[in-house]
Amino acid sequence: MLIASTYVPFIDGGGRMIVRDLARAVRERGHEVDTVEIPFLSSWDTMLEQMLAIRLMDVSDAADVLVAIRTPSYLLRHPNKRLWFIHHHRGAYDLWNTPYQDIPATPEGLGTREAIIAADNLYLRESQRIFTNSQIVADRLSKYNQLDASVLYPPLWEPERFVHAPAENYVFYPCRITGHKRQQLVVDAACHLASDVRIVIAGAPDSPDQLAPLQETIVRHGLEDRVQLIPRWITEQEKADLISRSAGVLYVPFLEDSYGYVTLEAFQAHKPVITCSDSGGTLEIIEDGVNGLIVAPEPAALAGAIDRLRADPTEARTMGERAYATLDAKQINWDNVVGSLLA
Amino acid sequence: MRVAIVNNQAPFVRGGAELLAEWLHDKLEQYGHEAEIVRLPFQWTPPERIVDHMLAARLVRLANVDRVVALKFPAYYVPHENKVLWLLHQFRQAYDLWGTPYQDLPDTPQGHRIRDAIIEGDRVHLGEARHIFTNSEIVGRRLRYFSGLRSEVLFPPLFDSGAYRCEQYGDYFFFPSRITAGKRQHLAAEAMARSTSSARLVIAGQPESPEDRERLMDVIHEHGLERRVEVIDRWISDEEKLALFAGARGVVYLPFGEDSYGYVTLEAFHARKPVLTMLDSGGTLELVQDGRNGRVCEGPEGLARAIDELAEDRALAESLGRSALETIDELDISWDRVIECLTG
Repeated sequence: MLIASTYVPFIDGGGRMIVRDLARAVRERGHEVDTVEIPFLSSWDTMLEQMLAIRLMDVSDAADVLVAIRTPSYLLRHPNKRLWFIHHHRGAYDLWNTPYQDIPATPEGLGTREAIIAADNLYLRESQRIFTNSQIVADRLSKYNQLDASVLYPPLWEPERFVHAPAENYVFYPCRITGHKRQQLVVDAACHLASDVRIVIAGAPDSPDQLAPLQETIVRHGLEDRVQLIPRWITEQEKADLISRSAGVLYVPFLEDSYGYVTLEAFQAHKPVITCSDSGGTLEIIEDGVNGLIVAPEPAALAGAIDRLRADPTEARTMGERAYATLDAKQINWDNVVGSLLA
Repeated sequence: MRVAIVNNQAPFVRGGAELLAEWLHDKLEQYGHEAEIVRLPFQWTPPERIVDHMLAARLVRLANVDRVVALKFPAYYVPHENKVLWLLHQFRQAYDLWGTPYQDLPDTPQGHRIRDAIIEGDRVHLGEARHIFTNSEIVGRRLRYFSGLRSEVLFPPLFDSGAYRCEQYGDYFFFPSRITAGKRQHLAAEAMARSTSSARLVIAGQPESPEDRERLMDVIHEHGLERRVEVIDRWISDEEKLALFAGARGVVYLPFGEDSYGYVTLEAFHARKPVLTMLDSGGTLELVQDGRNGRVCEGPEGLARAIDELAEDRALAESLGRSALETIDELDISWDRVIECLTG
């Protein structure tokens, strides 16, 4: 199997991680595997040339099957191509006509957008099978490209690192600190807590500007005893430990495509996850009151959900058990991924 | 600085270029740079794909990178304002191998057009680099002759030269290499048949095919050399290899017409051993100087005489070995220099 993707040099995004993990999973199951990762810059004015570059590259003799991951690596020529599609160039699709549109509405920009869509429509169809990493992305393929795709959820690497330990009196939000992950909402919620539960937030801030308002809120409302802020990248071991001893995990981003590895890590450790009704991909696997809680993106509502875990530990534990069972029910494991991609 | 090492990729294949790219990557990071290997797929059959891949490399954009170090055709076409080449070779089928059995490109009008495109592409685009280094003099001479471009030799060092040691000048000569016709282990065995001293030869390496092993064993049996020539016909570990270098009287390395000097030569020099090579070995002659740090021989007879001379004169082996180590310093084969050249 040859796994193809695109990337920006020196940026270690989720796309590169999924390539690495898939390669290891395929190799462990006895197949030969190599990866082709092509540098690609998503700037609209050189995008078509770069797409042509990938189209000119022929890897048809190199492997029995090609699995393309990040857009537009599916342009590579190969007779037996499968796709594990993680997203479109969204600026040309669902983000067009929003503040995130990254192609200008000039004649050149419009031409580029049309060409991107035309290339997707033409070359995505060369794939024998299309899988996506979320239902949201599958729905977009159907809406914009009239293509059927099935969802193949990306599993964790070495999930056994995340184990259950008895709940202590805190909830945990591990995530890069940045606007759309909404740590601010979490700190604001701390003002509304009725119980004595604590909140631990850990993650590297994207910039000092992302961190300062959180610290200010904590000081202004005297939340030092309620909210513990760890504003740095924590090791996998630290993260696993903090998840396993927590009463529950928070994951409240704004409108993400995927459910987030955090959700899987919590489920693996038998912990319920609290998310928001506008968080996006998390809603594909979190069911309110079953394996977690779904609340409105408002501080009081979020505080209510956190208090509920504290007030009824038996319910929290039951949700944690169902969270773990969800992983099996949704077949989120590497056997399923490798089997589906090679089927 | 952020350095992208740009190389070709033939999926599932790993050769010397991949190894060099990885070494350079690790050394750049040791020297405090950020480094990443960028591999562009290259498939040369059918031949018209060559031109597609040349154009593809031209259209790739390398953003977020301060310096590009490009190693091979056609990945070296990737545009970047701050690019240097450490050229391992051009597409030799269009140049020195054209008109030989290794030409590969078809001798048709289309084949000629592809060859012209390669020659023209190199002539126009290689000059964009801020500086061109080559891994050997011969690659630099070809670049000058075929593309009219000047370059400077930058010999690739060993990754861990400090591991090589000299313990003694023992009673055997060591020939480490993949066992294959092009490396000519059989020639070394023929020389042993003509040798009059009691010297032994230890050949170590994975045979490329059963036939390659047979060819060598036939020569050994034909001349009854079983007790004087030992063949370790498998891949040997680093520890075994270092020990065999450390105890050898000298090292034998006889490839036919190679471009590069071959890591074996450099390994021997770091272990303070003289190297015996052939007049038609190619790149080894850029390091081995006859009578100074080794012997450059002609035919099995010449090689036999060189073996006997060193077998009977341990002091000569020691003296040549000392000069061998000095050669590395004189030519400044070091990562200090490589990193300075490629990031300067």
